[in-house]
Amino acid sequence: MSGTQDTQGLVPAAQALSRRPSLEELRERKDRTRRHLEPTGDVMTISMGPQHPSMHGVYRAVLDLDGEVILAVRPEIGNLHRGVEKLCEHRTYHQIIPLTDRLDYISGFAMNHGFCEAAEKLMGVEVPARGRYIRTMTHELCRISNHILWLGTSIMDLGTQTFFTICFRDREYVLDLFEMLTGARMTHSFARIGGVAKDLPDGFDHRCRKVIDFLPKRLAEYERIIKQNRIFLKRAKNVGIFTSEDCHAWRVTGPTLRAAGIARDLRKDEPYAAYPEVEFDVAVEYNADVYDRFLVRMKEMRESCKIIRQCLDKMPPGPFLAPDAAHSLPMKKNVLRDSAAMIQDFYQVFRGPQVPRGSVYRCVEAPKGEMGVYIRSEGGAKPARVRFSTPSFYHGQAVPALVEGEMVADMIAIFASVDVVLGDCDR
Amino acid sequence: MSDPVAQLIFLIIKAIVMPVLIILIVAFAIFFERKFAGFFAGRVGPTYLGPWGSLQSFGDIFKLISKEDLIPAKSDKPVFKLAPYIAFVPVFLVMAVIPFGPVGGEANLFGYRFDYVIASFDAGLVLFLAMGAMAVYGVVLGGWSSNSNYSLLGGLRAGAQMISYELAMGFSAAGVMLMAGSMSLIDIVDGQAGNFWDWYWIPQIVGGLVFFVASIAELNRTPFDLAEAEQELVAGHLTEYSGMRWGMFYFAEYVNLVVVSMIVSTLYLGGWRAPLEVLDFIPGPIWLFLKICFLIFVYMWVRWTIIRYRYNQLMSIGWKVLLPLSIANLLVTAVVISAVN
Amino acid sequence: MGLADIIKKGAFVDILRGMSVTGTYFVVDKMTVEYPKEKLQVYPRFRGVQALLTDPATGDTKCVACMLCATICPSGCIDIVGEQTADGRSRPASFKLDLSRCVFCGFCEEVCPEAAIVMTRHYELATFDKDDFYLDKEKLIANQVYVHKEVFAQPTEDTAPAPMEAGTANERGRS
Repeated sequence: MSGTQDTQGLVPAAQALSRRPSLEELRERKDRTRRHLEPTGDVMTISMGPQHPSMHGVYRAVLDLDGEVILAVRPEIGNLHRGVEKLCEHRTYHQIIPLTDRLDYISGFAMNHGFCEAAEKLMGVEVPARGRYIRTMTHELCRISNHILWLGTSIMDLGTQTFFTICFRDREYVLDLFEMLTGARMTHSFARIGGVAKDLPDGFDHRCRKVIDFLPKRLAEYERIIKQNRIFLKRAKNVGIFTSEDCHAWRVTGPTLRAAGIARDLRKDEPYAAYPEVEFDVAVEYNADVYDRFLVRMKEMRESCKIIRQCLDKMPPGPFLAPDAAHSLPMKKNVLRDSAAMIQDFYQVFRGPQVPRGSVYRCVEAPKGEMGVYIRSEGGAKPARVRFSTPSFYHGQAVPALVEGEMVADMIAIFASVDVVLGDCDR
Repeated sequence: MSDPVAQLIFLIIKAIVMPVLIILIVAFAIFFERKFAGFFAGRVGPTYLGPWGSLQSFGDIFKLISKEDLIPAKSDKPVFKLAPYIAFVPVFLVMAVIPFGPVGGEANLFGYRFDYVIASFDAGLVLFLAMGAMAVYGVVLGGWSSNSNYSLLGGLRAGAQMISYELAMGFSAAGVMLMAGSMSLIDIVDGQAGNFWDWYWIPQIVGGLVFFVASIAELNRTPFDLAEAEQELVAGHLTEYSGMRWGMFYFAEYVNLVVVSMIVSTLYLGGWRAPLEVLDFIPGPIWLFLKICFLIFVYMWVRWTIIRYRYNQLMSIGWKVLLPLSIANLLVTAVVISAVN
Repeated sequence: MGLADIIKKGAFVDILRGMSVTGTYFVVDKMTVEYPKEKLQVYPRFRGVQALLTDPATGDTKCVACMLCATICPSGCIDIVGEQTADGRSRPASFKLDLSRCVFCGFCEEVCPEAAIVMTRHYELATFDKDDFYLDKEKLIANQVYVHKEVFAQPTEDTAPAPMEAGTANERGRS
């Protein structure tokens, strides 16, 4: 699957027609799996969240139930609103990077990366090859860590604690790599305008290869536990069907969209960083249900391992941070040795990057979906307006469309399957 | 001392020792549940309290006792207070009819006959089913009286689940009853005399599996723990309970675990009998204990591996799979037995 | 559904497969680190609490009160007051760092032109006393004991990344 085709319309990709249900079929299947009940007098309203064991973060959903069937959902988001976009207006482009970590704290680097890509596009900064490769690799590590966590929590929402623990156990390997590379396990603040903050440490290559050789074995073990499990099949197959047209209507992206048969992946469609230079497949499934979202993410993790391996193999020499005195911070080791770099350091800290007037939108394929950043600059070191268009927000607001007509237990499974992080959602 | 007096003294001793032993087993079952939950996930489980963490459940009990006993303001207070006892007492009663060693026969202790059962009761199996049905009242009443939507849903789920699975359980147990020709658990164990291939689990393999699956539902454990269903209903019927009242529900669950393991081993795994006749020199209670341990381990293993069914799936499995299977099993058993006789 | 499928289903093959995996985990080595008892060594780049380094020659802090860290800090948690020494050097009269605001992004360390402020390996910062979060110059200098990473102190250093404490990566009991 080349992945570049079929990004706009709903026309089925030709080569997959044989095993792909048509949109009408999916629509009909969706209609069949949802229960259409007329609201009666006995509506039980329960408030799920913000304190509920399986509401991820502080999401609140007010459910109207008839028995166990959901009649209506009123989602309430914004409990974790921290005003990140407003904060950005009072910080230089460098200082915004730690804020972006806190959007989707599960995959902090993807957020860093999205913001830096946008800022670089605005400033016209060229990222050196090594910087691009390190970014690509870190981004994919992020994707693995995000998907493993997603897997653990979503299977836990279906009822087993063990899966949660073993997923966290294996995520630990990836977090160790992050700690080794960036110095932090979750809030990495690793991308910089023009590249990344630090070069690969000694021994990273070896350790990273060990982890990505090892992880696919663990993924196979996960699949051994649940992929054929009759209970998982019952809970996940034909549950929460969300067709591609629904995805378009609600702007749902990422694995949920790809599970609906649309090979939309910004890594292929609007390539950035080193993605054009590495080989990988876009994971696509066609049944648009919870099970296919699971399959898509499992495939994506394997593809990420492939990408990381290629990045390590091809890792070019050279600087990891653009030698662009006007826009990026200097490399630390040069600051201590080179007066020009020290002047750049002072300049960047006290005046900040000098950005032309204009506005820019750039999106990257964050683990949860498309993460878009809009920046409007009126010149100077601080943006006039920053807007993050983060995937979780759209996924969180699509919950009513996803779950109405399903049962309470399915709501948990479906909500977990679209992968929402409230830091990302509420910003 | 005449024989009836001796029997009375024995009875009192048994009635005291047996529950204490069970409570000890339960305390360690709770500890091992937590330990094994860790082991199955590659963790170490509790390690702090006592050697290897083995006193963890006693720590839990002290914690629960010292916690505040909250009663929701708008709950139905008498029912709310009563519910834990309703859940707790019936499961203990079943213990009385489970034989843990040979019953009847020669004098074997200080010249008196010592029966390894508290109550030699003719309809032990019925008592077990009845008490299982009683115990669900604790859950339903607890869920209803809490005046919380989550609790109510949990209680309703528990009620519906118990009704559907009790049936399958009863029908599959009836197969064993036919084979033994008696409803007394003592006679059922006696019917399985011999080696482990003489036990009822081979002729009653279908019934045994149905009984085992239904017993998981009876125990409210994954994949049938819908009444509690942490991820959906917070804690189901236990949502509003705290402190020792919660602890009683929790404790009842584990007493039930031990009792159901005893019943399963009595019905299908030869009760207190040794797997090979040559091993008969080892006393019956030890064999029963080992079988309980094995079954509890399997229950834990299942619980910590698989996920939960949805409510309607649970009902459809109960009514559409387990019940027809158990009835078919009963029919085949009846036909074969009448043909053999 | 063929007969084989029915038998597989009746024998709980799918569930037993899953149980075999958890059963394996049951017996293999556990990877728990019992945290307060045993602690993992953090990696050299770990960003823990800050420390101000002193110059071994003078014994005073290397900081020249250039205000770079205070300016770049995204949460504005550093407060420096500079002064001139008698010999014309610039030094901080006071250097305050508010840990309750710090986000441990490491920018202060990254921009420091004197390699005076560094992030250390110390991360156990929980305290009963809020005053412990307000670090002054003395406390920051005292934090030097936690310094564990390469310090880019030598301007003549080779372009290659400075050697790190090799081996720490694999000694974490998790491989």
